[in-house]
Amino acid sequence: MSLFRDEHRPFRDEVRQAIRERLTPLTEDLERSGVIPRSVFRDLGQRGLLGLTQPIEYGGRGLDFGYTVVLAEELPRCRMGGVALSILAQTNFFSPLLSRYGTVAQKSEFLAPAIRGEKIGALASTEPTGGSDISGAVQCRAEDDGDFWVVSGEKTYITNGPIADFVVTLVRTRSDGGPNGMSLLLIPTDTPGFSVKQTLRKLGLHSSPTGWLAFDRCRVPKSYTVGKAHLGYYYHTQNLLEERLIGGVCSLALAALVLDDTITYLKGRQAYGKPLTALQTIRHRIAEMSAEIEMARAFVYSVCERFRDGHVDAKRICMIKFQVVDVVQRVIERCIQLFGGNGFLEENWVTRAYRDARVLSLGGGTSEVMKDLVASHLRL
Amino acid sequence: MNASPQIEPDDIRRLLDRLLVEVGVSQESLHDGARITEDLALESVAFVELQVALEEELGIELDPIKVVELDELSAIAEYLHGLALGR
Repeated sequence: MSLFRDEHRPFRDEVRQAIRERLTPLTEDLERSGVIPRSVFRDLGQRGLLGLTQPIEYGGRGLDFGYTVVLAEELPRCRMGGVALSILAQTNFFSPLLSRYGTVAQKSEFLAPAIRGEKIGALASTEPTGGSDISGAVQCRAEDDGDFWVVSGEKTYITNGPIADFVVTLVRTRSDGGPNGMSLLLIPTDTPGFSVKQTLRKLGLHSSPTGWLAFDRCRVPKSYTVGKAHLGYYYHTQNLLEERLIGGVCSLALAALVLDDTITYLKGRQAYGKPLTALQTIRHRIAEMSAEIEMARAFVYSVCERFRDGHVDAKRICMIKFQVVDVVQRVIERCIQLFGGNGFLEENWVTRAYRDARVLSLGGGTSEVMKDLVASHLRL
Repeated sequence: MNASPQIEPDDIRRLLDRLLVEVGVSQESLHDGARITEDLALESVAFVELQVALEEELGIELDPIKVVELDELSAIAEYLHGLALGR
């Protein structure tokens, strides 16, 4: 069955309208301040956009994954990669973990208010001493103390970390190394010992707050363990696949939008007495980029369809994470070139897209790690 | 190995043991009660390779979370047998 049905179309209109009315007017403020007001989350929550696939009993809409794809495709229209990331971090980073593995109490206390946009959450796994090699990198430790875990350590590059009310945190709960013996803990940010060590300044994604977080003997009730203790690594890596897939959808939509705006610009600009789009080199370049986007989209949609039907195609999702991202970065870079000097101006949002897209081959697992994972799937 | 209605639990267990050895687990540690997440100290890449190998050999699609939650080799073999029979 196709990823989209007739009912997805009015939903796309609904999302597009929400973005136009609620996010677009904030562009300059958000890019300058780097902080998304809580009112944005509350507003999107009230519109039902933060829990599309989540259970109805917790305030979600119980819809299929195609709706999440629509949201991820429309968010770039706010022309702030940071805002798109922060919203998807709320909908797709920690929420599926709570929905799948959380207890009823955890869902009531954390998932439901996150869906309403009343609480902001974050997911924290990367640490200052190591990133993509999660199984080897996690040093943040939780000591067993009766009914509590006592958490000490640091996490960095955490999307929404500086504004979060709680952080789903991957910690080591057994002394042996490797992937076995990690747990996911829900840690409210008002827990004594929690602090935002630094809000990180970045090349792009300026409208999304990114944090370096510290945990100094934070006492966390064991009832805040997500899923079974010691299996956190497996929950997290499985969940990362959804994050990577939806990231691929969103970034591809960003590239398509940049290309559309580039074409509009080129049609209105003259060289040698005719529009730039009449020049063969430019026509061919646009045709190439359009083909690259179309082919990537067909591949992404095929993986999304299988995902919607319950098949998590890890190999192809990792392929998307490096190959589609490569297309996205290449298209945006070429569009900058086609814009000429205008593509170098801060006031042209395409320059922002260029900066924002740079992170795509770094965050959520670098392209190099993705290629290693694909190689593992090929049993090399 | 191709999954078929005739496949026996012992066949699955032998396959599981063979593939575990192929991804670096010692033969001596493969007893019924051995736990995949603790006793076998499977590294992350080895776990992916094991998953892919099982899926290819049995023609199934397994849930990696189910595998680690079951944990014990005997329970995992039983789960795989059910999948191979299409249950």
